[in-house]
Order: sequence, then structure tokens, then C-alpha cells
Amino acid sequence: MKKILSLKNVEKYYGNKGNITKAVDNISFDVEKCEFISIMGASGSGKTTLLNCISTIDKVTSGHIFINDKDITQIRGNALNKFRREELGFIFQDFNLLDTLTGYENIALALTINKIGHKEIETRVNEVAKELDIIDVLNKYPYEMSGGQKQRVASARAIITKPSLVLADEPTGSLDSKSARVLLEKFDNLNEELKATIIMVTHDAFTASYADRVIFIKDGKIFNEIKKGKLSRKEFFNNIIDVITLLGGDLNDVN
Amino acid sequence: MMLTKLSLKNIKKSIKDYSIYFFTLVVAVAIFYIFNSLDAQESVMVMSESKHQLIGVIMQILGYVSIFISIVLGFLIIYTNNFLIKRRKKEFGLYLTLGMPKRKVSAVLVIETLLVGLVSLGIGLVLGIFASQFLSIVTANLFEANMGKFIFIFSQAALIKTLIYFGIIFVLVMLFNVISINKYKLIDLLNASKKNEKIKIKSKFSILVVFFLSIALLMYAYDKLFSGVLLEFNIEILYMLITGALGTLLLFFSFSGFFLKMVQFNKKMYYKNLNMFVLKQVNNKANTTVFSTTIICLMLLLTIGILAGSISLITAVNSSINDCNRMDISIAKSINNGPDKKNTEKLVDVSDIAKRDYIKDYLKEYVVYNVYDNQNVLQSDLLDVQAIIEAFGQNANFGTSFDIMLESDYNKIMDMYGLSDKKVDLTPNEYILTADIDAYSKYYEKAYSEEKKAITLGDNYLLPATDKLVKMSFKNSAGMSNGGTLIVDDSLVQYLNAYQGVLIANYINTDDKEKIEEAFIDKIRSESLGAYSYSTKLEMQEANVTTKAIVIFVGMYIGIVLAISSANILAIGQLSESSDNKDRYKVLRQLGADKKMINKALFIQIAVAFVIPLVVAIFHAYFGLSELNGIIEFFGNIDLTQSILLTAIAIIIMYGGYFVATYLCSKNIIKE
Ligand SMILES: Nc1ncnc2c1ncn2[C@@H]1O[C@H](COP(=O)(O)OP(=O)(O)O)[C@@H](O)[C@H]1O
Ligand SMILES: [Mg+2]
Repeated sequence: MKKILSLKNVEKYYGNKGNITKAVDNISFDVEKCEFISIMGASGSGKTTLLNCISTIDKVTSGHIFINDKDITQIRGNALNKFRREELGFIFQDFNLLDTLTGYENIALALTINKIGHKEIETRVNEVAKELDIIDVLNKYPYEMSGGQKQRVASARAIITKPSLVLADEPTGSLDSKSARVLLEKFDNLNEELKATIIMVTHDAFTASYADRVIFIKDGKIFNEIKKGKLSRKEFFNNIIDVITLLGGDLNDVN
Repeated sequence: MMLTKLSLKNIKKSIKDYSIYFFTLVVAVAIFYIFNSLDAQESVMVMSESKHQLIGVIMQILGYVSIFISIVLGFLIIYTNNFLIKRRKKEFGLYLTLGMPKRKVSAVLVIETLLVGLVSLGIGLVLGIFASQFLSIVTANLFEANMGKFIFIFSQAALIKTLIYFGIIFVLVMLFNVISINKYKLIDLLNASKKNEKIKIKSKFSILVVFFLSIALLMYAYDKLFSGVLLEFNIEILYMLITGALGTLLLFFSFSGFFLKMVQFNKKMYYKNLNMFVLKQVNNKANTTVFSTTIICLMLLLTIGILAGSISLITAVNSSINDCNRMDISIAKSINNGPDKKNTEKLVDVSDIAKRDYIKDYLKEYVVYNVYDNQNVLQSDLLDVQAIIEAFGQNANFGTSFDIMLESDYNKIMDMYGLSDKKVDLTPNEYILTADIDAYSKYYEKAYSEEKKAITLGDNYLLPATDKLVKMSFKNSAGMSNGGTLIVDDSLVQYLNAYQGVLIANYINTDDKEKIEEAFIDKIRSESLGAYSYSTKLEMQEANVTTKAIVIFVGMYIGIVLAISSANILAIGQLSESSDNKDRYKVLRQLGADKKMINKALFIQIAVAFVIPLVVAIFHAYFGLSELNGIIEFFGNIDLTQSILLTAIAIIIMYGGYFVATYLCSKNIIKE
């Protein structure tokens, strides 16, 4: 399989002399096309920081990140915006939908920024809305939607540009368990059917069990990595719990 | 002390974001000082006693205006301050949860206000003292005063007045702050930042109804305006103002929704770049800002009205002063041939004055002429009465008989004016109509120029001798004074009744005309002329300077303060809007919108907030001023386009400055 993302000795320090936090401490790993990866770790372990580095929202202190063989630590300005626009899709814990726009408009916004014509916008929004089961809420405003619906609209917005990489930071964090399950099944669909590559940050073992591979980090370093392989989700979930125990306890509590 | 430290930190933080407000405060203080410092400017200028008295009058007027100005500024400062306090609810909630008693939070606010007040007063006064040096040049120019060598001007009285007025305003601000802090409950303060502001979506139907209602109200107000209520000056003006303001309010309320729906019809346009985002953003805000937008629009209307009105008045006065005062002095007196001739036998006429020996000591040249009338030749014979009634209403009065002058007198006067080419040679069957009041002349044109209407004197039938009426005046006066004078052949004098004798003259050449004038008028006073009136060019020029100075100072003072006040309210609103929008812009950035796109969206949002009320205000102002033109016309000729243009430039500089500053600050705010 083709390598889509590759991290080489990535480090991110916060603070100044005397008081340095190594939020990300020498992390390297590769992600192949169509992979669904989960990054797990306790609160404060550096998950968000790592994701922000990959998503170019934050700059690395040292090391390199290659997406489609392009070193994104070296691009700046409008090239960076172009890259974000064309290659990345974001999903956040708090949805980040624009409250002044309807569901349809929120999703369409990702395309208008890419200067895509309104006719194509219409077909593509309807297509992805069907996929994520949000046809009913397209004409609603975010305040009229449930948390799960909001997150699915946000997910639709993230994947509608057909990005190489979808980055999700605790996407189920503010959802009840039923909505979370629906969303994760949709992620699975996106990954299987639309061939989207997904990197999802979470501290929840159940959520992580939907991925093909789970990378555990602790204090900014990779602690362990396990693959689902041929295992059922139940078995994979149990494996994840084992690693968490090894890591020293329930991640949910720490958050 | 910890409290002071906390206050200082808060101020530092907000000064960056709200530097525009601070700037407004400083400018307001400076302007207030400058326009109250005329006394100090006056004292260093070398000029006549009468001019000193005039400046005293102007200062008194500016003193009254200052009261109005301080009320406007007081409202502005309290409004802006309240606005900023509301935005900081969460911060105060935090202090309270950390265990700081309300008393102490109030103290923090009091110290903050005190510091902001002291610093802005300090900087504003320094700025004002420097800027008043420039104003003194304007003053000196206006009064043709000699400044001598440069003297640094400082007015202690203005300083103290500024300190007192602004001191009161800041104390009021403190009171307001303390009251509002004590009114808040902790739970409200902590929840303040949770935005559960629901997006109100107005239905297509209600938007349409409100939009058409606003158009109907505006049409009613404009109909009232065009029917001449400004000239009639009655209760209908109030109806016009109320419906106009209400119509404007509803227009702002519905327009953005209306516009949004229109654009949504054009999908290509709507789903292009960030158009959708910007439109929704503007529309969303329009509901909550409709009142402030309306107030700003009306304030701008007032600003434009005052500035353009002032400029018009000045050009009118300026242009008329020379046309209305073609000689150094004119003396007019009724002729002693009335029924009670016996009582007045001892009195002399102006024609007798002309025979005195002393005349040549004072006058280089003079003309004595009579003004006649004939009870059968009325102004209404040539006026377009119908048009006047339409414009001015029924109460117009045109029963007066025409002033009539003889051809020979007219020619002598033209010689004295140095206008020999205007001399005429009339037959007994010709007449010429002269006038210089525009408000009259335009109603004569039809009868005189187009219809060539005849008048009858005795058995003589007279026709117009020229194509157009002649713009001319025969006496000195403050403004246009010739509302219609006929010139006829000398042979017709038998049909005329002389009612007034006039002496017009120019003084002998000298450096000190004022002295000659004084001496000559003393001489005239010593004659037994009875009831007479005189009018001199020098006096008119002096009065002209006063009018000009009052209009310039008052116009500038009020105009600048209103302009910066309205711009300041807009700027603060937009800045807080921008910090509310920070997260929204962050989302756009994550979606990959580039800087150019985002800045453009921001620019349009701010531009709409600034431009829409200005456009509506200019629209109202243009038509309002065109109507008012009819009034100003009586003072002289004006060019409305020019005054509007000058006003536009002034507004664009002040208002545009705020716009640019708001955009730059907002760009900084949304940058993360
Ligand atoms: N902007 C920042 N400045 C300083 N330290 C930060 C910043 N962001 C994160 N950190 C620190 O970096 C570490 C990792 O944080 P984060 O990536 O948010 O963890 P996680 O997402 O796993 O909870 C933490 O110790 C946090 O305090
Ligand atoms: Mg995190």
C-alpha cells in the first residue's frame, strides 16, 4: 500500500529556557492509504499537539512530516492554505459548525472555498448527506440539531473535499454513547467505501476499537502500537484495555 | 497595591483592542479645549475694539454649544463604557468566584475609569493646546488680525472648563459602572459568555411586509418634504421626521434580509467564495444592531446637514457681500412731500446734503437718485404667483407696488459702478426689470423673459427692453435686497410718485477708510435729516466676518464631534463583533480559506456596517438640503454640489479614518 503520511522524529516543545514541556517527544510512524488509525493516551499526553502538528495548525520544533511525500513542515503562507484546503479534513470535539449557516451551507462552505460551482456543490452535498444520514437536517441551523447530527454534519464537511487525510480530535467526546456509535459506524463506512484515510485522537477504548490500528502515547512518546488484523472488534477492544492497564489505569478518569 | 495592578493589566489588555475608543476620548478632549480657548487666542491678536467684542459674542455662542457637545460626549462615553463593561461580565464573574468581594470589583472598575480618564485628559489637553495654535491662525485670518510674532497660546479658562466637564462625565461613568456591577448576579456573569443567542430567521413574507412598509413610510416623509414643510415650518415637520426615522429604522431592519433573499435566488452568486458566510453574518447582526444603526444614520444626517449647511451659508454670505455692497455708503430717506409736509418743512433731503461744501472732503464720487412708485404697477403683475403659492403656501404676500427708477439715474449709477456697458437708452414704451434676490428673480423670468408681459403707466404701454432681467442692486445691504425695481424713460416721471431719496457714494482714496467713514457719518448725524437709514460696506464686511466665524466655528465644532461620535460607536461595535467572530474565522482558516479571502470577508462586513448608514444619511441629506436651499437662497447664491462635495471630503476623512482603523484592528483581533 501507498504511504500517505510519514512522521520522522517529530518533536514539539512548549515554554522557554528552564521550563520546557516536551509535548511531543521524538515520534515517528507511517500511515498507509485507506488506513483508519486511532491515537490513544491520557489527558496531557500530547495527542492534540501531535494532531495539530500533522494538521499544520501548529509548527513542529524539529523533525519532518511528509504527506503524499511533501514535507509539510517546509511550506508556508498560501501554499499551506492550499494544502489544508485540498488535502486535509478536520473534525473537532466541539463540532465547530458556523451557527449562522444551515447544515447544507456549512457543508457547502468547504467547497465554495475551493471555488467549486454551485451545481457540483449540490450533487456532492446530497451524496455525502445520504452517506452520513443527515438529509433531514440539511436545512436546519446547528442550534436545531442534536450533538450527533452536528458531528455528522461536521464530518460531512470534513470529507466532502475528498481529502487525503481526515483528522479527528476526540470526535465522540461530547456525544452520548448511542450517537457516538452511529458516528463511528459512519467513520467505518467512510473508511471502507469512500477510501478515506482517518486519524482519530481519543482517550476512549470503545471509540479506538473502530480503528485498524491503535497507537498509544505517554508523555509525548510512543508507548505501544497494536493492530486489529483479523480480530473482531470485541477482541480488539479487549486488547486495547490490556494496553491501557499496562499504561497504568483508566484513561477516562484522567480526562 | 494589587487592585491597581489588576486594573492596569486590564487596561493594557483592552487598550490594544479598543485603542479607537481611547483615540476618540483624546480627540474629544482636545476639540473641547480648542473651541473653548478662543479667549487666549484673542488676547494675543492686534485688532480693533469692535472685533474684540465680536469674538466675545462668538465665545458666548461656543459656550452654549459646548453644553450641547458635552451632553453628546457624555452619552457617547457612557454608552461605549457600558458596552465594554457588558463584554467583560465573564471576567468579573471570575473575580467574584475567586472570592473577591463586589466592593473590590467595583473598586477595580473605579480605578480603571480614573486611570483612563486621567490619561485621556492629559494627552487630549496636550494635543488640544498644540492644535489650538493652528486654530489661532484661522481665527487671525478670519478677523484679518495681526498676530505679530508667534506667541504660544494657552488658555487657563479652557483648561479648567475641560477638566470640570470631563471630570463630571468620568464621575458619571464610575457611578454607572459601580451600579451595573452591583446589579449583576454571579450566575449571570458566569453564563455571560455562553452564546445561546438563537439565530432568528425571519420569514420571507414578514421581511417583504416590513420592507414595503418602510418604503411606504419613507415615501410619505419625502412627500411631506417636497411639499415644502421645511419652509412652512409647522407641525407637519414633526410628522415628516417621525415617519422618516421610523421608515429608516424599518429599512435597516428588513433590508439585509431582503437582500439576502435576493442573492439566494442567484445560486451562483450565493455559493461563491465566502459570499454565503458574509451575507449570513451581516444579516444575523442586522437584527441586533438596527437601533444603533438608525441612530448613527440620523447622527450622520445631522452632521452632513450641519457641515453642508455651514459651507452653503458661508459661500452665500461671501458671494453676496460684494454684489450687495457696490458702494462705500448709501443713505436713504423718505422724501418730504407727504400729506404732513408742514411738520417736516425744517428737515432736509439727501439731495440737500449733496449740495454741502464738506462733501468733497469725504467723497470721491456720488449719485443722488429718487425711488418712485405707482400704485397701479404691482410686483404681482410680473410674478408667477401660481408657482410661488405652490412653493411657499398660501401665506405669500405680493401686494406691494414696484420700485421704479428713471433711466438717467440708472445710467449715472452704472457710471459710478464702472459698468458703463450696462447703460441703457429707453423709449417711453420700454422698461427694464432689475432684481438681485434669486428667490424672486426666478419667479419673474416667466412674465418678463418668456411672455414679454407689458405694464401700463398712465396711457403708456411699456414692453420689456431686455431679454433677461438685470441682476443689480442700488443700495448697500447685508444680503440681496432688490426684490424688483423697474427702470423707465425719464419722460414718464409725471406718472410716478417719488417716495425716497438715496445718496450713494464712494469715499476719497485713503489708507484709513474707517476714520473717513466715522467722520462722514458724524457730519450726516449733525444734519436734520429726520428719519433716515444708512448702510456702509465696512459695516457689512464686519458683520459678514462675524457670521462667517460663528458658522465656521459652530459648524466645525458640532460637525466633528458628531462625526467622531457616530464613527466611534460603529467602530466599537465592529471590534467587539470581530472578537466574537474569532472562532468563526478560525473555522474558515481550518477549511483552508486563505488570508486574502478571509480579509476580504472581514472588510466587506465592516464596510457594510460603515457604508450603509452613511449612504442612507447622504440620500436623506441631499434631498433635505435641496429643500433648505430655498431658504438659504435669500442670503445669496449657493452651489449645493460644492458644499456637499466639501462635506463629503470632510466626512470621508474622519469617518473613513475610523473605518480603516477598525478594519486594521479587527484584522489583528481575528489573527489568533
Ligand atoms: N499552547 C501550549 N502552551 C504550553 N503548553 C502546552 C500548550 N498546549 C499543550 N501544552 C502542554 O503540552 C502537553 C500536551 O498537551 P495536549 O497535546 O493538549 O494533550 P492531550 O491532547 O493528549 O490531552 C500538556 O502538558 C500541555 O500542558
Ligand atoms: Mg486533547
